[in-house]
Amino acid sequence: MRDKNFLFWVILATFFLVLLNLPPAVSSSLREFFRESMATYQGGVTRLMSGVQRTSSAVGNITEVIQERDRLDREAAVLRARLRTLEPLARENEELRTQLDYQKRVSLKTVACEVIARDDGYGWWQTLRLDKGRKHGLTGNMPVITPDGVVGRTTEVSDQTCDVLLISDRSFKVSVRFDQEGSFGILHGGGVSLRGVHSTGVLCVPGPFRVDYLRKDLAIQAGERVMTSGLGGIFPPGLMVGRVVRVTFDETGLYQHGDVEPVADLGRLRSVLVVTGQQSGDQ
Amino acid sequence: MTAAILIFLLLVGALIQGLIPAAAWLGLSKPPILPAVALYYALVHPRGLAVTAAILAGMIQDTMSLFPVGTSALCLVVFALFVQETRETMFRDSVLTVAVLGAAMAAFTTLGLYGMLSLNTLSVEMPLWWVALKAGGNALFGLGVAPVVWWVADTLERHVGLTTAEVR
Repeated sequence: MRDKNFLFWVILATFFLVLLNLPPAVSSSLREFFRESMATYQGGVTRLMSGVQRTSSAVGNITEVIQERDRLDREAAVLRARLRTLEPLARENEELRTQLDYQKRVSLKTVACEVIARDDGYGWWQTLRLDKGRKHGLTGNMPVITPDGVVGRTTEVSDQTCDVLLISDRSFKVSVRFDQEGSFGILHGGGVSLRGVHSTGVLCVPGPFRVDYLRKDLAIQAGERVMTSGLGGIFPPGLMVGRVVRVTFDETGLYQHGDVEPVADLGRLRSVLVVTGQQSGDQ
Repeated sequence: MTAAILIFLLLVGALIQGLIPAAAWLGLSKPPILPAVALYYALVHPRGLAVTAAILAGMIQDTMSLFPVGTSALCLVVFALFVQETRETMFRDSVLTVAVLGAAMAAFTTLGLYGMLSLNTLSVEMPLWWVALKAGGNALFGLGVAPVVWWVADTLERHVGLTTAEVR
């Protein structure tokens, strides 16, 4: 009996020694196996919940829905009229570009993905799981954006899924440039705000991002736009990150800190774009 | 049948745990459903099955997050073995026992994970007060979730003919 007990502990200790020191290739295959097994169910449940939420919200706010439709109709009419006035300008712009031989403009190659799960299973990191993976050309460390701005970067990728570390996570860092001032800094996520509205429809209310160690003589104003700088090798330059909400001096008075409000609505992401590369084209 | 029920509980538990949003005001705590499944097996089943359940629950939890594979599994197995060794000294059919053990397991797992992350190069960059808040929040959720998971698992096993007395 004692021998059997001893054997149990030896096997268990050996198992964990091996498990915790698995080579990265084996470890990631194991992760992929579990992730792929879960992804189908996660996607199904998320879509079902999203449908239920939309339906219940629409039924509950039918008057608001009708008002919203009317407002969108009016807005569409105004935009159509504006588009008609812009068409001649677009043609003129194109002609001038042709004359100046100034056509090459870089645009981003993106893959549209749907969010199938939000935050990691135990609330340590702020992550998303997307419904596309290696088979769709995604790899790790690719920028993830929405039309509003930067959302995060891809971390682990399997054949059919991909995890994204959100920009609001405390461990996220990105090199940024202040639009007007032109100065550079390293922005990191501010975690989650303890206050604000948290519900099943909202992933989180992110705290403001932080840019540390800014030179004290820089005149950075509240409201200034903060863009990716292109340094660091992951994010192309010029992607919108947020707007400065406040600038404060640190305790020593030698540096400034900038608090930046995100422009992308990180709490309600349903779909995102993963930047897989850049392409040049005639514009 | 025991294996089928275990897999079913782990799958459903993982889906629910992934779906429920984290409570930001409690340090992004979540209801610890997978640890509660491991706790049920530690309280009711023989040691081999209890360890298997804890390993599987931990590995699923690790693959849902950025933790290195095996980190949660180690924390859950340590607690499951502690429960196994001491369960004869407790009123293990009492809801209160299950609730208190659920809270203890959730807090232990949270602090254990933070400790292991501190040893690892992978950093979560959380202030200590946040970790303490998270451990407390998880304990609070564990207090409520563990009896529910225990009741669901026990009912399922009874329905398929695996009565508690038989599987012990």
